[in-house]
Amino acid sequence: MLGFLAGLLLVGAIAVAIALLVKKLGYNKREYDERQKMAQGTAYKYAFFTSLGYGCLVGLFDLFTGIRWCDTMTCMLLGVCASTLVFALICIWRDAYMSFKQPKRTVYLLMALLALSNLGIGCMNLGRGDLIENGMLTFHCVNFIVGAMLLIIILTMALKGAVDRRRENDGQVEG
Amino acid sequence: MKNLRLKSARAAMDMSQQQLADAVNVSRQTINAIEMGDYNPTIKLCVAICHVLGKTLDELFWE
Repeated sequence: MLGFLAGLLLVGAIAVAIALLVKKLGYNKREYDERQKMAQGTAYKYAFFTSLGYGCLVGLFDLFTGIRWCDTMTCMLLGVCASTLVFALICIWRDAYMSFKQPKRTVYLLMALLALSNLGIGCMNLGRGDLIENGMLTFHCVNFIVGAMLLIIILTMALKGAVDRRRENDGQVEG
Repeated sequence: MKNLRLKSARAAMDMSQQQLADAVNVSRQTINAIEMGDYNPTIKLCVAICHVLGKTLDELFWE
């Protein structure tokens, strides 16, 4: 428990340091136009329903089967990741994920860094066999899940970029 | 429905979508969505576009 708290504090300290650095470098000037805000509203709606559906599904599964397949913290974080992923994917596909004033390369780099570090920690946990204890997914699998989620987001951004480029080449959109 | 009047007014000013987007402080994709008829802009954005292109609301947005 003490190790978990120390880890949480460390992650918190790193997050604050990154936030301060980003603010100092001026990369936090996020600004979304009216179409982007509208698309984000739609994405929030779908993310909300995903969260609702997940909660109901997990609750009903537990009620009817009584099988505990993961610990409480992991179960909660899986729901957060699922709804976050839905939000991110809808926003990316509707060009509302990144501010039009935000440097795209920095966002890609930061996300790739986060994905790689989380997947790395996840692989370490997998190697140690910490992911499953007594037949239940443990909190140690969260890094793996967050890493996978970030990887899906990066891949979707790349795919959307490719689709946009193709449309530009086809003359449907001006570059 | 495509907004061809906006597209031609922009082209007449020799502006790209990106230049118009920068002038009215929106993303290039938003200008493209308006021209393609995929997005209905607010009156505030319509007015801003009209100011930049030197047109009236009727000329660009009234059907």
